[in-house]
Amino acid sequence: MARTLINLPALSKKGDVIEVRTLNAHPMETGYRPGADGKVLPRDLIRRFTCTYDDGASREVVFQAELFSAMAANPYLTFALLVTGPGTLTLVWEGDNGFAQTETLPLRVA
Amino acid sequence: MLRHLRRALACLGALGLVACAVDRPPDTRRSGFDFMGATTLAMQRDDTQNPGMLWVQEGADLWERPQGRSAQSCADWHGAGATSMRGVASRYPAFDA
Amino acid sequence: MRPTGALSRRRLLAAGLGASVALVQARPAHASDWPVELAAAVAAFARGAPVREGRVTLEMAQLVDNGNTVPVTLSVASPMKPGDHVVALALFNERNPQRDVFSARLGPRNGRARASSRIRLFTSQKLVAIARLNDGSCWTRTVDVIVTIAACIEGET
Repeated sequence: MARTLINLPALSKKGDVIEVRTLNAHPMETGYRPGADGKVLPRDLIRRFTCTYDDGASREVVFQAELFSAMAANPYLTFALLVTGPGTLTLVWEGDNGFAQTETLPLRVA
Repeated sequence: MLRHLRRALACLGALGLVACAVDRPPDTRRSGFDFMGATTLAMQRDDTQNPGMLWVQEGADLWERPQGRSAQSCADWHGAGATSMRGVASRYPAFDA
Repeated sequence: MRPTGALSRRRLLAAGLGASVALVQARPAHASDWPVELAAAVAAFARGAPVREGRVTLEMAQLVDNGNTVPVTLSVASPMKPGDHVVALALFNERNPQRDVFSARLGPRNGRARASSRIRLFTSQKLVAIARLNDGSCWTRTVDVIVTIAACIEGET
């Protein structure tokens, strides 16, 4: 399973705008690069990242990104989130060759 | 007696240092850190951004993972890596030349 | 006639400082500089809406030391309220094999229109950040960057 690093404040308050930082270990093979044998290595990218926020009152997609070859390897994605209540964040990475990874983490609100 | 010994050692040490300073040519090596671009430097310094931290986390996971026939992990023998293995990275890997 | 002595040294130093400052600051470019493919990619994102320069900030090094991993941050000063917010952000490039870099959907639940990532740049080129607001209008910022080590498309070293 690919390694991920997700960073967000350990504790926040309702109304805060927090920054969620995500890192996912993935080669992000562009599909343009020749390998050692001269043949172009097939594309192998994470194509989409989605963050869903369940604050107890609703469950909504709060951030979604489409990624392309021009993204660096081990994609780093950071976005802002308005804290509306304690709940759960579900982060999903999907990509080529059936790549799919989900991480869930709690959002702790004082 | 001890004070004399200490003073003698200090003198020898100082002489040694001076001798080294005189004999050795200045070290002109520079770390890549010195001429890294500002944004690359910021990326490296921030543990929440540095992609190397993904492998650090993998190392932390491996430390806890049971391996082999005995199904024991590094942690079973050495406890919390952060304390028992402090400073190890600067001394290992070590090779018998 | 060349000035001599302290005066010329001072002038040379000032010129050098000026040049290095100019190099470090982001060099803005304009929509009129976009080549055809880039303009088409931006127009497709804009969905026919008029595209204006402004409101979007694209933070990135103007001199990129490693094109394999270039930190970028896109942001828009927007209240991000239900009636006035950014619905999408995107980044396009001029000279990589493909124009798209990434695009993101946003909304009031973000609280702030800001996204950061790291991208690959094949060569020195223009980058265009574009934001679509809830009223359909689109705003762009174009930046010109110099890349010293290109993201590899020429095989494993």
